[in-house]
Amino acid sequence: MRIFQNMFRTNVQQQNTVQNSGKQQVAPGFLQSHGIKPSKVMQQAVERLNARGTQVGSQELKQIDNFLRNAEGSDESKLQTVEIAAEKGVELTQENLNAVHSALNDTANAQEVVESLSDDQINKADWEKVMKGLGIPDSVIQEIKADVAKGKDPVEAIADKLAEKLGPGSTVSVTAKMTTITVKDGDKVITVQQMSVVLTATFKQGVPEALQKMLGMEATIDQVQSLLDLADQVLAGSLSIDDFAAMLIEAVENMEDNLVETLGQSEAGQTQPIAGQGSNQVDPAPAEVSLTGAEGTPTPTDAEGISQADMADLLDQLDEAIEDVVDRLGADGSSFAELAATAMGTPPVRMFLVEEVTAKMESVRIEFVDMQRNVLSNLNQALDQMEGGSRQEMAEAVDKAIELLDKTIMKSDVPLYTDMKLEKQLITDSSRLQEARKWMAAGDLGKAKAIVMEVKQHIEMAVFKPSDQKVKVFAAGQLATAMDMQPGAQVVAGQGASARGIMEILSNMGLNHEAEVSEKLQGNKNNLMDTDVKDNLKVVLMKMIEDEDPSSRGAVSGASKALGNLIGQQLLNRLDQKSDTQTLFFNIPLQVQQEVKDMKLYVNSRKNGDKMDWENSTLYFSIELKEYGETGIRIQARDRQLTLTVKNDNGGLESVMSPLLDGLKKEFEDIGYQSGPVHFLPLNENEVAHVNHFDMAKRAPIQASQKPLTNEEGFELKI
Amino acid sequence: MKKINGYSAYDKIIDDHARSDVNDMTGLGRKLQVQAEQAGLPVDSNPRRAGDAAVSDLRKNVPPQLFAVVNTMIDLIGEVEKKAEGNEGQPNQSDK
Repeated sequence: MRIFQNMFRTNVQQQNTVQNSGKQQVAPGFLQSHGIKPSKVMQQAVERLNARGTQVGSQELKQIDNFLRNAEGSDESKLQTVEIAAEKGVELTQENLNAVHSALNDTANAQEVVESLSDDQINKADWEKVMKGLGIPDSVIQEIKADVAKGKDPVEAIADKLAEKLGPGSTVSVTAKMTTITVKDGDKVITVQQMSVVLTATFKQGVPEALQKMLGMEATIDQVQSLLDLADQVLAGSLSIDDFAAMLIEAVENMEDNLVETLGQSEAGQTQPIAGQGSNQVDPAPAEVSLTGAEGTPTPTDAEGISQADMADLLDQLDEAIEDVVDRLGADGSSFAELAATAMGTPPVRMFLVEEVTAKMESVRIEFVDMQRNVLSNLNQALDQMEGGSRQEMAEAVDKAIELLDKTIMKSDVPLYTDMKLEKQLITDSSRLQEARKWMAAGDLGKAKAIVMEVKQHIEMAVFKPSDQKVKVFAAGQLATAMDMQPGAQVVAGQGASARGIMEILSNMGLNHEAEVSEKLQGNKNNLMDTDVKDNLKVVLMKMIEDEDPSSRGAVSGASKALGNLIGQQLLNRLDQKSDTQTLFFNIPLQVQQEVKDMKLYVNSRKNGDKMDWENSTLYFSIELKEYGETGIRIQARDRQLTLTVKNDNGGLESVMSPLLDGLKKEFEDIGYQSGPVHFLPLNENEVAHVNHFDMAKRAPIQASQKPLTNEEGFELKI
Repeated sequence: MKKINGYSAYDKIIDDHARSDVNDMTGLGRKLQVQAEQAGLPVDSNPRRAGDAAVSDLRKNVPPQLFAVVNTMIDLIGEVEKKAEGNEGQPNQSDK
């Protein structure tokens, strides 16, 4: 990662050259007066900070001194970390400096922590702990232990005993695994083990008759079977996904009507809650049953004995049972219908899988329609204002439409369940509206109006089409645990992710964690306990550190380092509130041809308010390619005009990359850019040393050391 | 959350905080830590970092066009590696 490091640091070095020309040397007495033992490197740090105009007090000086004394790496790299942190307005504490230093310099990224996972069976000796953790009463544990002592398998013993306690017709399944996580701590390899147990209870054979009646089962089982058959037809290509979705929605609405109707009857009958429900639930099992009384005897239930609240609990339990089954079956590539049919050994489960998927699709569809309505309303408002109205209101309406489109792409669930074509179209529309906004500012309302009309037409015609593949992923991923998020925290190159897909990767790494938590909490102020945020790598690492087990101190140390790396990236990505430019830095784990690599990405742009200006920005990618070695790719946009510079010392790269550039040109144009020249340059550190990343957006493009191989149309190359 | 033309109150709160100074960031971070603890959600243990991170929302501050460029380049890198693998065994171009 030599290129990137040099480019990043050169900025600081250049500043020193200019700003330090008249610098005053820091006297050793100055450090001593702050209780710091003088050292050359500390003296240099203070001189550089002074030259930058950064004021530091005694406390910060001590923190910087501790960092300089204890961090790994050369003095120069540490000094540059201090400067970069100061540049970003990061609080200069030892912890923050370590985090930034790790993000900038460590080649191993946080992904390593969860890279090696293996699942094994739980040791027999741990079973008692498991049972206690599940909340199984001691008396029942004793009975289970007695069965185990007679030679019965612990899993079987627990399942059988609980089923017996639940009464005839009930089945209980238990799955347990011991997850071993390998953590690299320097040269040492340390392992940490985590136990996870899922206990699922279903009424497999005989749902009590009254309950069955309440669920409207008799009417719905046939409907569900028909829907599963239809799902197979979709997969076979004989039925469109739209028709299938419509049928699903209608069927589920009918099922819900049945349920509401029967629940209404039940409520009218002055129902009583299930005794003990909630107080002795098997916890933390996601699909649990209630065990009540000292002997663990289940309380008899009937239609008159279940309240609406209890029914909701029951539905949740069944819902989670599905998640368990679907999750376990999801990895084998089964078709949706097979998956559902296999998973649904019980009618309630079958119904709820369909309901789960359908409900999600419906909520996303509503989200999409809302967006459509709001964007169109703003565009209509803009068009109205163009007919002699207020220019300011016209511009504001277009700005709101742009914001809504961007928000739909970046925040809503719409891109997660539709094909890439729709996402791309929304990005194009956002870019087009920004163009319209410029014409408005320039006073050319004719051109602005034409673009607004064009976008309006796109939005009106846009149809929410669920992607079959993405729906399957949703169904299969319902029981994703924190550890299961590993595949989501890695980009697989060449597999057509999307803009939103990249954001999801960063989110899965936890780089946007606090912003997401904050948003959820704001939206759930009255019921904080019910706030839920998806797990991500940062959360996993924080939990590992919090649950520190003395036997796995090394693993915790590895987790701390990985967490520091993520925090360092977050610090480097903090909003530059007082600057007119914004910089970002990411270590993106990239899977290329079965190999995981670190790709460093640096982004610098002007700002429009708090938002980065994509039309005037620079992105720098640095990656070690297997065949061609260290490679840097710089993409610079000025008023949407792109210049691409590829830096590499292997002549073979140019011949391999050139044929791909036509496709690249089209991709960029679809987003809203105009393609410009492409330069292939050697990896020349002297030349690189003239590039200023922090100030990139204000500078002219770097001069190529050879004539660009382009024509006026952009990326066309002559080899 | 109440929405006006698709905008939620959250956007305004964050916009306001984004214009705050360091002390506000620390205050915001502390508030976030308290609420997150009540919700059982872990967040950064340093209040100022937590506050800074809460207002530095990548989904809001980074336009989709920039992520689309990143995605396109990652696909290009994947293609290059794939082609390079296909070329293995063939005579290599001379290095510069």
